[in-house]
Amino acid sequence: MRIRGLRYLTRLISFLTWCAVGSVARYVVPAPFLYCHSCPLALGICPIGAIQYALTMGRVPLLPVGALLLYGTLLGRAYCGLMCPIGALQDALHWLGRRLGISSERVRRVLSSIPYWVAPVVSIVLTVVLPPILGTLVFCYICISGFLLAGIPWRVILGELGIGLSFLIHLVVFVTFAILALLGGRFWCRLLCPFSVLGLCNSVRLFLRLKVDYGRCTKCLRCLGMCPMSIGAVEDVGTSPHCISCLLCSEVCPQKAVVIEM
Amino acid sequence: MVPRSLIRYILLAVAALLLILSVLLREYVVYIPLLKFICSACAGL
Repeated sequence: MRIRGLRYLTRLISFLTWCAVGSVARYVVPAPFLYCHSCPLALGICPIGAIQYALTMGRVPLLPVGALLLYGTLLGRAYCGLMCPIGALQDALHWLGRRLGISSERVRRVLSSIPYWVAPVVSIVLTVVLPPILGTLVFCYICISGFLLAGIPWRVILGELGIGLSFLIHLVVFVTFAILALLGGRFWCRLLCPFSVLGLCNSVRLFLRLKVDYGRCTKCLRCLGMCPMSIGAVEDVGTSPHCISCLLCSEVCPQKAVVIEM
Repeated sequence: MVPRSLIRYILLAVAALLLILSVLLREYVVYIPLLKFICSACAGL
């Protein structure tokens, strides 16, 4: 099976598995990807929401931070490439953009030029610094996952919920990142996603490490052309904190120079 | 230079410590309301 098809299968299986685990131990299994515990069918907690919630309550978020550290050490940022539904949505939009011929190389260069520190710094400010000061879950006001899994479903279910400023902010953020995904790829992951901090563990993770065999590599750069994160150099494949281990580089390499170490 | 495997196991040990502490201190009780109420920020209320 092609890796691209396999990725959609792993996302579905991992999402269902996590839901099954979450339904048994609801409050002690934070999701390893962007999720929303305000979803009508929520079976577990979002670690990002939980961190903010604990901080606004004046508590130390031991459980979500410990879980994130564990997830990062096991698989680095592979959850973003193999599990995250928001990542899957962006990939699907980018695929659609390519099919429609509106994917832009200039936009991809912009995506490629965003330094790694942007997403972790912005998300730490929004999830760790501001919530205890303002007493509210600041990141959740712009979270795409909250918009798709809670904002829209609750409006469909309850009907009478209005469309206020908060919903409009969600809508603007979602539309912006959907357009950017159509044109260039995973802007949300490189600009705002708090799970980007898992990338710091990419070089020390236990499983699913990618290595480039430079003896085989002919520098054809097909791997970089397919990369949904627009990684800019072959040397960064597998080791860059941007790398989400989507394995597309391994699939498209004609020399099979990108080796997957389980 | 610190070997990567050492960093890896230190991170795992810290993660395990945090998770064990969270269970011992029954920290998960703090998060129970998250699944019982609709978060106004998430749902854009």
